Amino acid sequence: MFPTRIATRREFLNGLGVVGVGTILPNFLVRTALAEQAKPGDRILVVVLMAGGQDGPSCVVPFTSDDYAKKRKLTFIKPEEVLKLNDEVGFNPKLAGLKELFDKKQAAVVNGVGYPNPNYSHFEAMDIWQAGDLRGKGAGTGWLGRYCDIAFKGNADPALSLAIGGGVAPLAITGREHPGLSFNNPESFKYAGHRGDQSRQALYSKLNDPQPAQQGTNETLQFITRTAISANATSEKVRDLAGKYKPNVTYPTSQLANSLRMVAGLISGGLSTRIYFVSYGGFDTHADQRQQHDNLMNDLSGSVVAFQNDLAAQGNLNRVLTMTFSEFGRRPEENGSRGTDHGSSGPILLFGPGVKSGVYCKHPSYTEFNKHGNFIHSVDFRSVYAAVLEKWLGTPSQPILGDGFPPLDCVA
Amino acid sequence: MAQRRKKSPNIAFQAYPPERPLPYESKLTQDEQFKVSARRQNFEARQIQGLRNWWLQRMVESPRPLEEKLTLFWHGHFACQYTVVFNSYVMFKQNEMFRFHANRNYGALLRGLVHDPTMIRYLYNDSNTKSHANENLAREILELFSMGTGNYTEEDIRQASKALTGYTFDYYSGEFRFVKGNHDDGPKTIWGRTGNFTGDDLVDLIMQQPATARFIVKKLFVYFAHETPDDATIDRLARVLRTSNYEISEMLENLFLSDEFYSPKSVATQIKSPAQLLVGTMRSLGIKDANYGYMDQVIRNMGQELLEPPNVKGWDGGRTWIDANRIFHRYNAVSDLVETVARPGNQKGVDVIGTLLAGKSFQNPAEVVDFLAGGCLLAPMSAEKRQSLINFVSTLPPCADWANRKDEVNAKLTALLVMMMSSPEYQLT
Repeated sequence: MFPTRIATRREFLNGLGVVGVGTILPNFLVRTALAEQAKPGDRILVVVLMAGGQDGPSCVVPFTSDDYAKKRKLTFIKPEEVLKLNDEVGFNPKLAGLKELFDKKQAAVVNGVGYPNPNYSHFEAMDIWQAGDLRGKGAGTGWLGRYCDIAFKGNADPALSLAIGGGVAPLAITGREHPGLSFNNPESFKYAGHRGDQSRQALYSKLNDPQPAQQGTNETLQFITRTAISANATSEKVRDLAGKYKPNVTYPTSQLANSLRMVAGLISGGLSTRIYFVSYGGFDTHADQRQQHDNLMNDLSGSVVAFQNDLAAQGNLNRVLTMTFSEFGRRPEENGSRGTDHGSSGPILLFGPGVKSGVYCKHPSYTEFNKHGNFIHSVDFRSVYAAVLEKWLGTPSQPILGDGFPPLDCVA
Repeated sequence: MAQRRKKSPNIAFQAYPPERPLPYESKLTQDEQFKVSARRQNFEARQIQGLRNWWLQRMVESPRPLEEKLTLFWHGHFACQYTVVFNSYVMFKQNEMFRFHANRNYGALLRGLVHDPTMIRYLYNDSNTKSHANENLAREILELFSMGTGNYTEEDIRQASKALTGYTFDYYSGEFRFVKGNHDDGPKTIWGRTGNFTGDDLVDLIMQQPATARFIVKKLFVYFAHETPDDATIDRLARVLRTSNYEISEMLENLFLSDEFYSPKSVATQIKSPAQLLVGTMRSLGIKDANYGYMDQVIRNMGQELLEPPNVKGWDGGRTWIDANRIFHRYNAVSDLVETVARPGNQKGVDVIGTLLAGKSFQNPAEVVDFLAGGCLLAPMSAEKRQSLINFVSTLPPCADWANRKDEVNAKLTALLVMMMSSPEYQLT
């Protein structure tokens, strides 16, 4: 076994671009530089979680289906309102901004994404999607965490994956060697116990630095020290970039927009992060769905468009691919409370010049359902993940997702 | 061990069951109905918060810390989430049940559990009837609460769930109810034995399975000692548990007196849970008058919301307690606790001289550092770190002057404690 090594503070600072030119490159940076030559550069993936279970037909509308019209009443979107993407499906009218991206060849839509024997529990389904594995939490790591472990093996940079909003680091970005960073509010992402006192600050740094004598003795202590170093090394930069960023475009006022603005700030500041994970919720629309869901679509469209415009203004648009997902879709028919209950598959949306613009896979049939009366998925979610991993991030997907998930042709 | 029990702390909590709706309520106007329902929801929100605060206070102030530590263990083992149960009264009763059985008898505890309204509600056994089976409770009892996977078949689960049919409760009184008409009183075959088993018989059958003692022992061992016990140790402790007819205290006494418990594998290898971190800090510093509502908030930020474990498996513990965000929450919470806790005379911070160092004298700063580090760190600091701590308090006046310059010295020593506790070493136990 390769012994786990505690990286030094200098390595982290170097990795974050804090130390100026003229310093000697530590080994790990050299290794990273070498590793990167074989990779397609510094591409970034932003994943947007729509938590709660998003209602597919209210986002990508199967407007030609009579059965859709029969099964939906208050959530029904009239064909004349739909922003048509092809002869079968179109966007919810609140997604006008996303339709413009689609017309600019910067958006792709994948219909009916799911997996066999769908799980209808928020919690378990969420774990399955985030793990990229039907065992869910039992897999131990998330698909993007495994990506970091494999593609950045030996690279101790703590900021490779970062989650904003949602509390704990989500399973999706959790790897074995790369635990991922997470915070809700950049202001709380710091050590405050020194109370501004310089001698305390200096002592704090010493107490949270790796000790040569500790290596190989107490593995748990090493783990905590590594995590503390990651946190300290990134805290100031992350707070500065995320908290003080002044974009040249106007973002809507919403949690999602706020999170995406922070991501844009971190990208613009040159943080080494490759994977960003952003979540927003409210999709568990069991009752009075229409207004609530329309607001969420409006928020999605406005936030994503502002984010894309901001990236373009920064000159980073070509480096970033954004994709959405939700833990499940909802039932084909409405319930008795003007809402919809937990269902199976739903659409994934992808944005950025890196997508192969278009509509992929059939919208699930509105006449044939699975044994629970839910949509039968058209494509396995891991085939979409495989496309992102192979085509966008330039990594073989098999070691991350296992066998049998050919990449969908939705990424250029 | 019963005769050695210390007196239970005199910290009472009065919980009230939910109001039973009165027949006339349906005749009220919509506005009046809304007011009644808002009043009930407010009461419920206050009561669950009160319950959390009360439990934290017990953890900090009880003269029987093991009882509270075991109560927390059983809460994590038989995990129920308040946001699913939504009845603070039955959750209080469940908490008291865990405390009563904390180190008594595991069989009695499991029997209590199949009669426990909180668990019945949480795993939907209130809808497990003769005509409509719900296997949830049976499955989790076998998989998570008593034996672990690989020790039963899917058919055993189906049969066990039949035994549990009709075990329900009354929402408003919070009392267990057995509804005979919903109970399947026909024969069931579980682990090859056939009878007209009830839920109580199921508990007896589980107690006869050798896997049960091993499963419980292993989980308690991991909770108290370390994550990788060897088979021989688990076998030995499981034998102790079975021969004492599942008396938990017998097994724990054996564990606490064993060499394994004091081996390098057990000492300073465990990451403190958020509750352990805060409560342990308060107990070791003698802080009693904290704002428990604030503590509850802080523990939640660190990833352990009491009465709201993440799922039926409880908290995963171990390394999952730590990530980059949580480590700041841990350091900051302890720093705040040590430095801003109120003490008499409008002073802020722990009175280190008056409490921790009372009656002691020290020749030099190194002795002070060693004494305090010895008291709060199980994992020793490296020589380099120790020296930086000594340098930090190098300006400390001689011990003889401390009484005259109390505030100044206390401020410095409090800062020293804050720094010692803002370290990876302090996260370990």
